[in-house]
Amino acid sequence: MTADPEYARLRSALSRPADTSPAGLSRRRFLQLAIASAGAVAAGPSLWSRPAAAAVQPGQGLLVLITLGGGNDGLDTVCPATNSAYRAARGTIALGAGSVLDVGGGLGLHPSLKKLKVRYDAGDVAVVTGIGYPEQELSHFESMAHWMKGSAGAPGSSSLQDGWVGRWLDRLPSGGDMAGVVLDASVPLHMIGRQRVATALPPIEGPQFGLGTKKHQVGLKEAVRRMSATSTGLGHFADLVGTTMARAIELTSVVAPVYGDGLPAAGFDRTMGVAARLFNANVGVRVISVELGGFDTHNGQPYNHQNLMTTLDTGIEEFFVQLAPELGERTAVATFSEFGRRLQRNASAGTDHGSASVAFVVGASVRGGVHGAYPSLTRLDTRGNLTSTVDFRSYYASLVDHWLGGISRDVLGGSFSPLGLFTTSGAAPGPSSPPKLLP
Amino acid sequence: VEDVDIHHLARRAGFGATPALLKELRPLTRDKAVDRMLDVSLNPAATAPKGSTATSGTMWQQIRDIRLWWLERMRTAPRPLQEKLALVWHDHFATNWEISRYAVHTWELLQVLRTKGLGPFPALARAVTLSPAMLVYLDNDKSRVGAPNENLARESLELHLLGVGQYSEQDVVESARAWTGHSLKTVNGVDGRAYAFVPKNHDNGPKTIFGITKNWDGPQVIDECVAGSKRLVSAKFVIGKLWSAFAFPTPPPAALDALVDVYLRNGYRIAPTLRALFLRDEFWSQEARTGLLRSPVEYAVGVMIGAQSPAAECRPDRELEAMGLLPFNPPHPAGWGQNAVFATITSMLARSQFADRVGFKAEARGLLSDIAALPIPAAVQRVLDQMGLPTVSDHTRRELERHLAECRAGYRVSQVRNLVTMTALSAEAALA
Repeated sequence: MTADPEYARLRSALSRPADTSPAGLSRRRFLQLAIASAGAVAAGPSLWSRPAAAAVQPGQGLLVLITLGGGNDGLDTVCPATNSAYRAARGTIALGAGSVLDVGGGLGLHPSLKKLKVRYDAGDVAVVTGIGYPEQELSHFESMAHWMKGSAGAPGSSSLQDGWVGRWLDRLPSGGDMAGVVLDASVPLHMIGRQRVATALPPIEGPQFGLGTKKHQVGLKEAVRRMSATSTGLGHFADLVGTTMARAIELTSVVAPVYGDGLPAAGFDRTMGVAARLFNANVGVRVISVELGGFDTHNGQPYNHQNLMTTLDTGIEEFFVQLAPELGERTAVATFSEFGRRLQRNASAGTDHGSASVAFVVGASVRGGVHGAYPSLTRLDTRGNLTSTVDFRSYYASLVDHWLGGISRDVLGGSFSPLGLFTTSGAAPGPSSPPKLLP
Repeated sequence: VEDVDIHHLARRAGFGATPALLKELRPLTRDKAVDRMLDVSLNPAATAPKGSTATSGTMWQQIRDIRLWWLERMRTAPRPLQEKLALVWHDHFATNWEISRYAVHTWELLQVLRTKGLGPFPALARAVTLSPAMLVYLDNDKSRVGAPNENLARESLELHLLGVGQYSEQDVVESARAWTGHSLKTVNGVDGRAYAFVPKNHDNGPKTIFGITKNWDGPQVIDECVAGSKRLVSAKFVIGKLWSAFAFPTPPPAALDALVDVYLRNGYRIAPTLRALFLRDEFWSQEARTGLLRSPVEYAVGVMIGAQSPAAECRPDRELEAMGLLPFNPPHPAGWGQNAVFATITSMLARSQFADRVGFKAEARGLLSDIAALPIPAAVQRVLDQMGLPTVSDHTRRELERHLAECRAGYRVSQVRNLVTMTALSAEAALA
């Protein structure tokens, strides 16, 4: 646990002092910088006052949600490596029983999750096994839609208009324009609410247009902002582009410093570093969604899945390296995937679509250990897939009720028992006390 | 045909009107103008960029060259509908070069989409599904009897042929068996170079698909979907997709029924179906004219056409991923989607960077150098004509005029650059 002095030293060694990088600037200095670079803009609403109004309060949990796109194999992520049914079904592509990183109960983390194992041993990783839902669909689209909607009821029973984080965003007090952020080109369903949609920011390269300080550059930026901020009367899509462009220009100088020096050159770990710096900047960001794709390992699973596990491991580590230490107790990283994979391997040294999988929650305020029963490997469903033991909406209920703040019953449209993934003891500022919600 | 209608048709059946196209179509009736747009025989033959079809070399460079070749082709083809439709099919039959063996497989599949795109859909679906790019992307190359891989079977039914919910789990399982043995072979020492059917890897047992039990083979599943017992479901799925790509998101039931009828009566051929689509009243409605956003590729090509700037100079490929649509790199077998998907801060930041570069290059090349001598309203109109947006909203025109006045008062040197960039960032330039 975090009280362990040895781990405290490790954490300190892994964390970056708040003021050594542009994104590590204190909130006050960050806003000054934003104001300075936006200062040449004479007229118009100043967006940088909005993040100021929405500053994250002590006691509010921060969350990074990693989508493991394609269907992550839970069996090789948290592996029952000595189980005879696993060894028989996976044959030559099974992970070595001696290579997995033991977490007890006959389970081991994938050998490439080395840094995550260090955090696990420190009590900072909750492993949720058997996560899924009854009679899981095997279509990426249908299952991912169900996971992203995160609502009570059967899959496909309601429209695809909003997702669970989006509905949580809807219930925040006004001024929370930056509360939900997606580091991607597009916004996935789980980050879309009925009233609010998460802000998509670049996953890798920061903005460039509009940062120039020459007179003609500043003039152009303001002219485009002005043009975009008013409706052309050409319909919904034209207005959507206009308002998005205007907001993009207003945000340019606010987010540009986040992409400054000190990040990995490219890839998922860079994106995770950007996520940490957005929290460090304290501009009102509460939930950041990132995606790591490629988990649809129908083919060559040993090689492909190992690379993905390494990428996930280094990405989570980079996040905590970049995260300001004072946010450590208030920040958690959580993963999800649309489904796991079939117990029986296929002929391409891979695995086809399955059902129950695993999820990780990582952070200093997380109740470490394995949560949920591991599904039976001998009592399979009619497709030869695992039967889930933890409903994914109980997972979301934990994240809402015990971390983000809010009432999961309102967000999910039904009551699901939280899993107890967070410690409620510990020093202030601890994990979430619910923020005030709109009626 | 009036100019405003030529612009609409050119943006949908291509990427934007050139002065030559305006001149050509003005004297014609709507029917004849549509026929001209459909006559892709005018397009020159396709020649692969040097080195890009070798089975050795640096693959990302080869793919970059193919991508730039295609973008330039979109910009310059006299009948760009061929490329536009290939782009629609690339979204429908998405493949990712990073999960492929050789760049030449991406080139070959692109040529399938380009040359068969307007023909009968069953032949297109067969050629795409049996292309090495698709067989590898959806993991069918190693699928064999006793251990079928379900990826191709499932995505083919869900994404390519019928749509989600139009088949059962059993149909997927049995189709996967039917697809076993459809694989790759070595050619001239190049491993996995071409498609081959390997009989010993094929499952010859009886399979029950759509309630019919027989010794199914993979391509027969395609035929059963598109030209057999499922043809009406498939037709609505495929024609609905075309409608949403060329007209507006949801097809009116009457229009969909009429187009499905055209499609079924014309041997599942896409060209007569598209012709009928372009001649529907709904296609020319106000709902249609403001009912689609340009995808990032359509946007980038449209801006390059306006600025008369080649792809090799503008390099839209540098921003297309952040804009949301980098050809040959779909995020998922389902492709990219359309419209609001691309209306994000990330996409707009990338778009502004691209537009700024196009404006800079255009000014450096001397484009629109005559506007300095024109009064402000005439100069703005000149820029709008050049960029293929002669009739923008009053608001956009006012803001362009206001900024041109600022340019002339304060920083004369950048008026072309700033006006081209600003026009390219208008809401009008974002509409398809």
